[in-house]
Amino acid sequence: MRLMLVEDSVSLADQLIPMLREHGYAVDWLADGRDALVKAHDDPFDLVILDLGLPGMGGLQVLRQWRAEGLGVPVLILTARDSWSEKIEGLQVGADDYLTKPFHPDELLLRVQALLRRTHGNVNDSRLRVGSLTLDEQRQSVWQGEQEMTLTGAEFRMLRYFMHNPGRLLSKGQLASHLYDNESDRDSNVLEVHVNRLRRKLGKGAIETRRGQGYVFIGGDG
Amino acid sequence: MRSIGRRLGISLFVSLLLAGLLISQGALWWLEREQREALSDSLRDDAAGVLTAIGRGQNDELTLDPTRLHPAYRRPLSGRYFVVEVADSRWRSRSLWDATLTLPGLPGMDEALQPGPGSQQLLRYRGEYRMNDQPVTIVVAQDYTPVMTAYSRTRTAVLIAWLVVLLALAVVQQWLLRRGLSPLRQARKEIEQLRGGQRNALNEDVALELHPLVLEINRLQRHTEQQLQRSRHALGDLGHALKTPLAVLKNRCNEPLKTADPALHALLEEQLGQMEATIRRALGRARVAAGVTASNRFCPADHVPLLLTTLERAHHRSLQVVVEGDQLPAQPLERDDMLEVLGNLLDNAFKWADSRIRLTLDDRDGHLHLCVEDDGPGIAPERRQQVLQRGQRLDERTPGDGLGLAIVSDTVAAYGGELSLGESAWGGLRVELRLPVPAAGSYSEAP
Repeated sequence: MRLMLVEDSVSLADQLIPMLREHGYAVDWLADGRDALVKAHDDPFDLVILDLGLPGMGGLQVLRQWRAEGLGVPVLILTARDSWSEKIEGLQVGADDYLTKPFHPDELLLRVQALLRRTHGNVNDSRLRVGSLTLDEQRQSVWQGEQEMTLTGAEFRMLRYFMHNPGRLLSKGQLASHLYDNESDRDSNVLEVHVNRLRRKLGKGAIETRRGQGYVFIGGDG
Repeated sequence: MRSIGRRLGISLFVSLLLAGLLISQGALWWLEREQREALSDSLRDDAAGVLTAIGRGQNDELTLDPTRLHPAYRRPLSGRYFVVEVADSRWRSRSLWDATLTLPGLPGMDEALQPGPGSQQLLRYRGEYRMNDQPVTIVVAQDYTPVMTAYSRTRTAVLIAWLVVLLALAVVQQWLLRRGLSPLRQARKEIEQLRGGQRNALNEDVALELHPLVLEINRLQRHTEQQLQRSRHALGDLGHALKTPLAVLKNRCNEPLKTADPALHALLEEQLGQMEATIRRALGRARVAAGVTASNRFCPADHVPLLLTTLERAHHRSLQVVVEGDQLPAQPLERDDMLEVLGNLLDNAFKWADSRIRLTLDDRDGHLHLCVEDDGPGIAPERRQQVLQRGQRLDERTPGDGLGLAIVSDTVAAYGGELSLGESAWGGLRVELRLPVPAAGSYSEAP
C-alpha cells in the first residue's frame, strides 16, 4: 500500500513516516500543496494523508482540484482545524475521513486501515478478510482459520496489497508502484522472491501466475 | 418614545388650524367693514333723498312732500326711518310709528348701533344742510339686523366649510406623512430582516436623507462579518500553529518513552492533555458568533443530513439514527455555531450509543428546541454538572473527551439559551437545548 503524506511540519512528518513504514506502508512525503497536486497523477497512490494548512496551495484547494480532475484516490484530512463546519467542508469537497490534531498515532493507523478497507469494498468488517485468510494488521501476521502465520515486513506488505485486490490481475509494475515509494529500490526479481515465499506459506494455489501479464491473488483456499 | 410621524402630524395640523382661523376671521372682519361702508354710502344717499323731498310751501315755509319719499318710509316699522328738524318743527317718517329715534349728537355716520323699534338695531346718519337760510338736520336710520343675521349665517357657513376642509386636509396630510415616512418604515423592516438573517444588506436605493444612514449600517454589517471571518481565520491559524507541535509532542509520548521513563511520560501526557483541552475550549468559545447574517443561517433541512453523513463516515458504526423536525425552515441562528453544537452532541451520541440515536428539532414559543438522545450508558446525575463545567474526560477508553459538551454549553450560554442533561427513554444520555430565536416577525406597524 502506497501512501502520500502531505504535511508541512517537518517534525511531525519525521515521526509519521517511520511509523507508517514500520506498519508496512510505502510513504512519499510532500510538504508543498502545488507539488502534491502534480505528484498524485505521477504515481498510483492508494491513499493520501492531507494537511490543510499547506504552503503554496491550501489542502482543500488541492483536494478540490484533484476531484475536479477526476482523481478518486481516498483522502484522509489531517488538520488542526477542528470545527464541525470545517470538517463538513472538507468532506463535501471530497475527503473520505477527517482526523484532527493532536491525535494519537494509533488512531491515524486505524483510520488509514479502515479507509483502505472501505475503499476496497469491505465496509463493515474491522479486519481484512479474503476467503479463509484474515490479516492482522497490528501484528503483521495472517490467520488461516485458527492458525497464525508470521510474515516478514515485505511479505506483509505484499499480502496486504493482494488481499485488498483479490481476483484482480496485478502486473509486476503495478505491484512495485504500490509497494515501494520513490526512495526504495525496485527490482522485479525481489517481487518474484516474495511471491514465492507467500505461496510457500499460504499454499501453491494462493497466487496464480499469468505468464507475461502478472499475478492474480486467489486466497487461502486456492 | 417620540414618534417623528406623530410630531410632524400634530405640528402641521396646528399650523393649518391657526392659519385657517386667522384667515377666516380676517376675511369676516373685512367683509363686515365693507358691508358697513356700503350701508353708510346708501344712508348718505337716503339723507339726500329725504332732502330732495323738502320743498317750499305757499308761505315760503319749508314743507315735506311725502310723495317724493321712498315707500319704505311710509310702511310702519319697515326698518328705514328719518327725522327732519327744521327751525322749531320736527318731521318724523311714518314708518317710525310710535317709536322715537334718538338723534346722534354729531353729523356724519354714527358708528354705534342704536336699539330701535322692535328688536331692530339701527345704523344712523346725521346730515346738516341749509335751506332758505335755515339749518336743516336730517337723520336717516336703517335696521342693521338683517345684515347681522346674514353675516352670522355666513360666518357659520364659513366655519363649517373650514372645518370640513381642515378635516380633509388632515386626512390628506396623514396620508402624505405616511407616504413620506414609508422609506423609514421600509428601512426598519429591512433592518429587522437583516437581524433575522433574511437578507445580507439593506437596499441602498433609498431616499436621499436615509442614504448615509443605510450606507453606514451596511458598512458596519460588512465590517462585523469581515471581523468575524478574520478572527475565525486568525483562531484557525493559531490553532494550527499550536496543535501541530502538540501533535509532535504527543506522538513522542509513546510506548518506548513509557518504558524508559514512566514518570516523564505520565507528566508529559497529563500536561499535553491539559494544553490541548485549554486550546480547544478557548478556540471553541472564541469561535461562537452568536449573531447571524443571511449567508450563514442554520438550515436544518440542508445541514442536518450533511452533519449525519459526516458523522457516519467518521464513526462508521451501524447505528439507527432517527431525525425528527429537520424539515424546519432556515433558522436565524449562525450556521457554524449550530453545526458545532449539533456536531459535538451527535459526535458524543455516535461514540456512546449502543444502537440508537434520536435527534429532535422543534421551534415553538420563540425558541429552537434541540434534543439528542442515545441508548448508551448515560451520565450519572451527580456528574452532569461537572461535565459541563470543566470539559472533563469521562472515559479514557473512547477517543475524544467530554470537552464537546463544554463547548456546547459555552455556545448555548452565548446565545442566552438553556442546556439540560437528563436520561433518555432508552436509559442513555438525553441532552436538551433551548435556544431563543430572534423573531423575524417582531416588526410591528406603528403610526
